[in-house]
Amino acid sequence: MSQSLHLAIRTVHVLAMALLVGGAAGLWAAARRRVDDLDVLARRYEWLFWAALGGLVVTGVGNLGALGAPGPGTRWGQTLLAKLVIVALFVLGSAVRTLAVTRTDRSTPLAAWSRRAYGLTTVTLLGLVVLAEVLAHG
Amino acid sequence: MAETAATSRTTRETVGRPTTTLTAWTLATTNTVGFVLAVLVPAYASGGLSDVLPSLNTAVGVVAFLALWLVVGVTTHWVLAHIDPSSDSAVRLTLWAGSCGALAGVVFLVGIVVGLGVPAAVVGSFGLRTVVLLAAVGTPIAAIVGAVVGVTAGLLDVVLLRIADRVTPRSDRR
Repeated sequence: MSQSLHLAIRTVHVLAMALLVGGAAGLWAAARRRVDDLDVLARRYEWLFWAALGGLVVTGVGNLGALGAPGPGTRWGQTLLAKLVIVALFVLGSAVRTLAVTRTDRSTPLAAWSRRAYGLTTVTLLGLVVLAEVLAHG
Repeated sequence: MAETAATSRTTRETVGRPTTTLTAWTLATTNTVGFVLAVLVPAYASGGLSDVLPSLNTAVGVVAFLALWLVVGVTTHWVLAHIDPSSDSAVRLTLWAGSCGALAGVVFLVGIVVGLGVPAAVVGSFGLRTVVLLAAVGTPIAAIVGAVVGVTAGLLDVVLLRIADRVTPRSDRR
Protein backbone atom coordinates (compact mmCIF):
# COMPACT_ATOMS: atom_id res chain seq x y z
CA MET A 1 0.00 0.00 0.00
CA SER A 2 2.73 2.41 1.07
CA GLN A 3 4.94 1.55 -1.90
CA SER A 4 2.03 1.92 -4.32
CA LEU A 5 1.07 5.26 -2.78
CA HIS A 6 4.60 6.61 -3.08
CA LEU A 7 4.86 5.39 -6.66
CA ALA A 8 1.54 7.09 -7.45
CA ILE A 9 2.74 10.31 -5.83
CA ARG A 10 5.98 10.31 -7.81
CA THR A 11 4.03 9.57 -11.00
CA VAL A 12 1.64 12.47 -10.40
CA HIS A 13 4.63 14.71 -9.62
CA VAL A 14 6.37 13.87 -12.90
CA LEU A 15 3.16 14.07 -14.97
CA ALA A 16 2.23 17.44 -13.47
CA MET A 17 5.65 18.85 -14.31
CA ALA A 18 5.40 17.41 -17.84
CA LEU A 19 2.05 19.17 -18.24
CA LEU A 20 3.47 22.49 -17.04
CA VAL A 21 6.61 22.36 -19.21
CA GLY A 22 4.83 20.96 -22.27
CA GLY A 23 2.01 23.46 -22.04
CA ALA A 24 4.28 26.47 -21.55
CA ALA A 25 6.62 25.39 -24.36
CA GLY A 26 3.63 24.73 -26.62
CA LEU A 27 2.21 28.19 -25.95
CA TRP A 28 5.63 29.73 -26.51
CA ALA A 29 5.83 27.98 -29.89
CA ALA A 30 2.22 28.94 -30.69
CA ALA A 31 2.98 32.59 -29.89
CA ARG A 32 6.06 32.54 -32.13
CA ARG A 33 3.95 31.17 -35.00
CA ARG A 34 1.17 33.67 -34.21
CA VAL A 35 -1.52 30.98 -34.29
CA ASP A 36 -5.19 31.93 -34.05
CA ASP A 37 -7.07 31.58 -30.75
CA LEU A 38 -3.90 32.06 -28.71
CA ASP A 39 -5.97 33.64 -25.94
CA VAL A 40 -8.23 30.58 -25.74
CA LEU A 41 -5.20 28.29 -25.54
CA ALA A 42 -3.62 30.52 -22.90
CA ARG A 43 -6.75 30.57 -20.73
CA ARG A 44 -7.11 26.77 -20.94
CA TYR A 45 -3.46 26.34 -20.03
CA GLU A 46 -3.78 28.70 -17.07
CA TRP A 47 -6.66 26.62 -15.65
CA LEU A 48 -4.61 23.45 -15.96
CA PHE A 49 -1.45 25.20 -14.79
CA TRP A 50 -2.82 25.96 -11.31
CA ALA A 51 -4.32 22.51 -10.90
CA ALA A 52 -0.99 20.93 -11.87
CA LEU A 53 0.97 23.33 -9.67
CA GLY A 54 -1.12 22.44 -6.62
CA GLY A 55 -0.58 18.77 -7.44
CA LEU A 56 3.17 19.35 -7.85
CA VAL A 57 3.51 21.00 -4.45
CA VAL A 58 1.53 18.41 -2.51
CA THR A 59 3.30 15.49 -4.21
CA GLY A 60 6.63 17.27 -3.76
CA VAL A 61 6.09 17.42 0.00
CA GLY A 62 4.95 13.79 -0.12
CA ASN A 63 8.20 12.88 -1.92
CA LEU A 64 10.23 14.63 0.77
CA GLY A 65 8.53 12.55 3.43
CA ALA A 66 8.84 9.31 1.49
CA LEU A 67 12.50 9.74 0.54
CA GLY A 68 13.63 11.15 3.88
CA ALA A 69 15.22 14.54 3.34
CA PRO A 70 18.79 15.06 4.59
CA GLY A 71 19.34 18.10 6.82
CA PRO A 72 19.50 21.71 5.56
CA GLY A 73 23.24 21.93 6.25
CA THR A 74 24.08 19.34 3.59
CA ARG A 75 24.69 20.15 -0.09
CA TRP A 76 21.43 18.34 -0.89
CA GLY A 77 19.61 20.44 1.68
CA GLN A 78 21.03 23.69 0.27
CA THR A 79 19.93 22.63 -3.22
CA LEU A 80 16.45 21.84 -1.91
CA LEU A 81 16.21 25.23 -0.19
CA ALA A 82 17.30 26.97 -3.39
CA LYS A 83 14.68 25.02 -5.32
CA LEU A 84 11.92 25.89 -2.83
CA VAL A 85 12.80 29.60 -2.95
CA ILE A 86 12.76 29.52 -6.77
CA VAL A 87 9.41 27.70 -6.66
CA ALA A 88 8.00 30.41 -4.37
CA LEU A 89 9.16 33.18 -6.72
CA PHE A 90 7.89 31.20 -9.71
CA VAL A 91 4.44 30.87 -8.11
CA LEU A 92 4.25 34.64 -7.57
CA GLY A 93 5.44 35.37 -11.11
CA SER A 94 2.97 32.86 -12.54
CA ALA A 95 0.13 34.45 -10.59
CA VAL A 96 0.98 37.78 -12.22
CA ARG A 97 1.09 36.10 -15.65
CA THR A 98 -2.32 34.43 -15.22
CA LEU A 99 -3.94 37.55 -13.78
CA ALA A 100 -2.60 39.50 -16.74
CA VAL A 101 -4.14 36.93 -19.11
CA THR A 102 -7.51 37.34 -17.38
CA ARG A 103 -7.28 41.11 -17.99
CA THR A 104 -6.76 40.88 -21.72
CA ASP A 105 -9.61 41.20 -24.17
CA ARG A 106 -10.35 38.16 -26.30
CA SER A 107 -9.87 40.21 -29.47
CA THR A 108 -6.43 41.46 -28.43
CA PRO A 109 -3.42 39.96 -30.21
CA LEU A 110 -1.31 38.35 -27.49
CA ALA A 111 1.57 36.97 -29.54
CA ALA A 112 4.39 39.30 -28.45
CA TRP A 113 3.38 39.30 -24.79
CA SER A 114 2.80 35.53 -24.72
CA ARG A 115 6.17 34.87 -26.34
CA ARG A 116 7.93 36.62 -23.45
CA ALA A 117 5.64 35.32 -20.69
CA TYR A 118 5.56 31.67 -21.71
CA GLY A 119 9.20 31.71 -22.80
CA LEU A 120 10.20 32.84 -19.31
CA THR A 121 7.83 30.27 -17.79
CA THR A 122 9.38 27.48 -19.88
CA VAL A 123 12.95 28.46 -19.03
CA THR A 124 12.18 28.70 -15.30
CA LEU A 125 10.43 25.33 -15.33
CA LEU A 126 13.38 23.73 -17.12
CA GLY A 127 15.68 25.18 -14.45
CA LEU A 128 13.48 23.60 -11.77
CA VAL A 129 13.61 20.27 -13.64
CA VAL A 130 17.43 20.44 -13.57
CA LEU A 131 17.37 21.12 -9.83
CA ALA A 132 14.97 18.20 -9.35
CA GLU A 133 17.37 15.97 -11.31
CA VAL A 134 20.23 17.06 -9.06
CA LEU A 135 18.14 16.27 -5.97
CA ALA A 136 17.04 12.89 -7.31
CA HIS A 137 20.34 11.66 -8.72
CA GLY A 138 23.05 13.83 -7.17
CA MET B 1 -33.86 50.98 -23.20
CA ALA B 2 -34.28 48.78 -20.15
CA GLU B 3 -34.01 45.72 -22.38
CA THR B 4 -30.76 47.05 -23.86
CA ALA B 5 -29.34 47.65 -20.39
CA ALA B 6 -30.38 44.16 -19.28
CA THR B 7 -28.83 42.61 -22.39
CA SER B 8 -25.65 44.58 -21.83
CA ARG B 9 -25.51 43.46 -18.19
CA THR B 10 -26.12 39.83 -19.14
CA THR B 11 -23.41 39.96 -21.80
CA ARG B 12 -20.95 41.53 -19.38
CA GLU B 13 -21.70 38.93 -16.72
CA THR B 14 -21.41 36.07 -19.19
CA VAL B 15 -18.12 37.35 -20.53
CA GLY B 16 -16.80 38.23 -17.08
CA ARG B 17 -17.69 35.05 -15.25
CA PRO B 18 -14.92 32.75 -16.53
CA THR B 19 -12.31 35.46 -16.02
CA THR B 20 -13.46 36.09 -12.47
CA THR B 21 -13.43 32.38 -11.72
CA LEU B 22 -9.95 32.01 -13.20
CA THR B 23 -8.85 34.93 -11.04
CA ALA B 24 -10.27 33.24 -7.93
CA TRP B 25 -8.74 29.89 -8.92
CA THR B 26 -5.34 31.55 -9.45
CA LEU B 27 -5.36 33.52 -6.20
CA ALA B 28 -6.72 30.58 -4.17
CA THR B 29 -4.00 28.25 -5.41
CA THR B 30 -1.32 30.92 -4.99
CA ASN B 31 -2.45 31.48 -1.40
CA THR B 32 -2.61 27.76 -0.62
CA VAL B 33 0.76 26.95 -2.16
CA GLY B 34 2.26 30.12 -0.67
CA PHE B 35 1.03 29.12 2.78
CA VAL B 36 2.51 25.64 2.48
CA LEU B 37 5.85 27.04 1.28
CA ALA B 38 5.83 29.74 3.99
CA VAL B 39 5.56 26.96 6.58
CA LEU B 40 7.82 24.45 4.81
CA VAL B 41 10.85 26.60 3.95
CA PRO B 42 11.56 28.07 7.43
CA ALA B 43 10.72 24.72 9.07
CA TYR B 44 13.20 22.88 6.83
CA ALA B 45 15.86 25.63 7.04
CA SER B 46 15.75 25.50 10.84
CA GLY B 47 16.38 21.75 10.75
CA GLY B 48 13.13 20.88 12.46
CA LEU B 49 11.51 19.16 9.52
CA SER B 50 14.02 16.44 8.64
CA ASP B 51 13.07 14.27 11.61
CA VAL B 52 9.35 14.97 11.43
CA LEU B 53 8.61 14.47 7.70
CA PRO B 54 9.33 10.71 7.47
CA SER B 55 7.03 10.05 10.42
CA LEU B 56 4.06 11.84 8.83
CA ASN B 57 1.41 9.86 6.98
CA THR B 58 1.57 10.72 3.27
CA ALA B 59 -2.11 10.01 2.59
CA VAL B 60 -3.16 12.19 5.52
CA GLY B 61 -0.89 14.98 4.27
CA VAL B 62 -2.41 14.82 0.77
CA VAL B 63 -5.96 14.87 2.17
CA ALA B 64 -5.11 17.80 4.49
CA PHE B 65 -3.64 19.77 1.55
CA LEU B 66 -6.69 19.09 -0.62
CA ALA B 67 -8.99 20.16 2.24
CA LEU B 68 -7.01 23.37 2.71
CA TRP B 69 -7.08 24.03 -1.05
CA LEU B 70 -10.85 23.53 -1.13
CA VAL B 71 -11.51 25.79 1.87
CA VAL B 72 -9.21 28.54 0.55
CA GLY B 73 -10.77 28.19 -2.91
CA VAL B 74 -14.32 28.63 -1.63
CA THR B 75 -13.45 31.57 0.65
CA THR B 76 -11.39 33.31 -2.06
CA HIS B 77 -14.25 32.97 -4.53
CA TRP B 78 -16.63 34.30 -1.89
CA VAL B 79 -14.40 37.28 -1.07
CA LEU B 80 -13.97 38.23 -4.74
CA ALA B 81 -17.75 38.05 -5.21
CA HIS B 82 -18.24 40.67 -2.49
CA ILE B 83 -15.31 43.06 -2.83
CA ASP B 84 -13.43 44.82 -5.59
CA PRO B 85 -9.69 44.80 -4.74
CA SER B 86 -9.02 47.64 -7.18
CA SER B 87 -11.50 50.13 -5.73
CA ASP B 88 -12.63 49.12 -2.22
CA SER B 89 -11.04 50.78 0.82
CA ALA B 90 -8.13 49.16 2.67
CA VAL B 91 -10.29 48.80 5.80
CA ARG B 92 -13.01 46.94 3.91
CA LEU B 93 -10.45 44.69 2.20
CA THR B 94 -8.74 43.95 5.52
CA LEU B 95 -12.03 43.16 7.27
CA TRP B 96 -13.16 40.81 4.50
CA ALA B 97 -9.77 39.12 4.20
CA GLY B 98 -9.44 38.72 7.98
CA SER B 99 -13.00 37.45 8.46
CA CYS B 100 -12.79 34.96 5.62
CA GLY B 101 -9.33 33.86 6.77
CA ALA B 102 -10.69 33.23 10.26
CA LEU B 103 -13.64 31.32 8.83
CA ALA B 104 -11.32 29.27 6.62
CA GLY B 105 -9.12 28.46 9.62
CA VAL B 106 -12.06 27.26 11.71
CA VAL B 107 -13.63 25.26 8.86
CA PHE B 108 -10.28 23.63 8.09
CA LEU B 109 -9.79 22.70 11.75
CA VAL B 110 -13.31 21.31 12.07
CA GLY B 111 -12.77 19.33 8.86
CA ILE B 112 -9.54 17.87 10.22
CA VAL B 113 -11.16 17.04 13.57
CA VAL B 114 -14.21 15.41 11.97
CA GLY B 115 -12.27 13.67 9.21
CA LEU B 116 -9.24 12.52 11.17
CA GLY B 117 -9.74 13.11 14.90
CA VAL B 118 -13.09 11.39 15.35
CA PRO B 119 -12.15 8.20 13.45
CA ALA B 120 -8.84 8.11 15.36
CA ALA B 121 -10.75 8.47 18.64
CA VAL B 122 -13.14 5.67 17.72
CA VAL B 123 -10.43 3.15 16.86
CA GLY B 124 -7.57 4.60 18.92
CA SER B 125 -6.63 4.81 22.57
CA PHE B 126 -7.67 8.40 23.30
CA GLY B 127 -11.33 9.18 23.79
CA LEU B 128 -13.82 11.33 21.99
CA ARG B 129 -13.72 13.80 24.87
CA THR B 130 -10.07 14.53 24.12
CA VAL B 131 -10.94 15.28 20.48
CA VAL B 132 -13.76 17.63 21.54
CA LEU B 133 -11.43 19.36 24.00
CA LEU B 134 -8.76 19.78 21.31
CA ALA B 135 -11.38 21.21 18.94
CA ALA B 136 -12.65 23.62 21.60
CA VAL B 137 -9.14 24.88 22.39
CA GLY B 138 -8.07 24.83 18.74
CA THR B 139 -11.03 26.76 17.30
CA PRO B 140 -10.11 30.24 18.63
CA ILE B 141 -6.45 29.62 17.78
CA ALA B 142 -7.43 28.54 14.25
CA ALA B 143 -9.58 31.65 13.92
CA ILE B 144 -6.74 33.97 14.98
CA VAL B 145 -4.13 32.24 12.81
CA GLY B 146 -6.63 32.17 9.92
CA ALA B 147 -7.34 35.89 10.28
CA VAL B 148 -3.62 36.77 10.24
CA VAL B 149 -2.99 34.50 7.25
CA GLY B 150 -6.10 35.87 5.53
CA VAL B 151 -4.99 39.49 5.89
CA THR B 152 -1.47 38.62 4.71
CA ALA B 153 -2.82 36.67 1.74
CA GLY B 154 -5.25 39.48 0.93
CA LEU B 155 -2.42 41.99 0.91
CA LEU B 156 -0.37 39.71 -1.33
CA ASP B 157 -3.36 39.30 -3.68
CA VAL B 158 -3.83 43.04 -4.00
CA VAL B 159 -0.12 43.47 -4.80
CA LEU B 160 -0.28 40.69 -7.41
CA LEU B 161 -3.38 42.19 -9.01
CA ARG B 162 -1.75 45.62 -9.22
CA ILE B 163 1.46 44.21 -10.74
CA ALA B 164 -0.65 42.22 -13.22
CA ASP B 165 -2.47 45.41 -14.13
CA ARG B 166 0.87 47.04 -14.93
CA VAL B 167 2.38 44.20 -16.97
CA THR B 168 -0.74 43.71 -19.07
CA PRO B 169 -0.16 45.58 -22.35
CA ARG B 170 -1.91 48.95 -22.12
CA SER B 171 -4.02 48.39 -25.24
CA ASP B 172 -5.08 44.99 -23.86
CA ARG B 173 -6.51 46.29 -20.58
CA ARG B 174 -10.23 46.00 -19.93
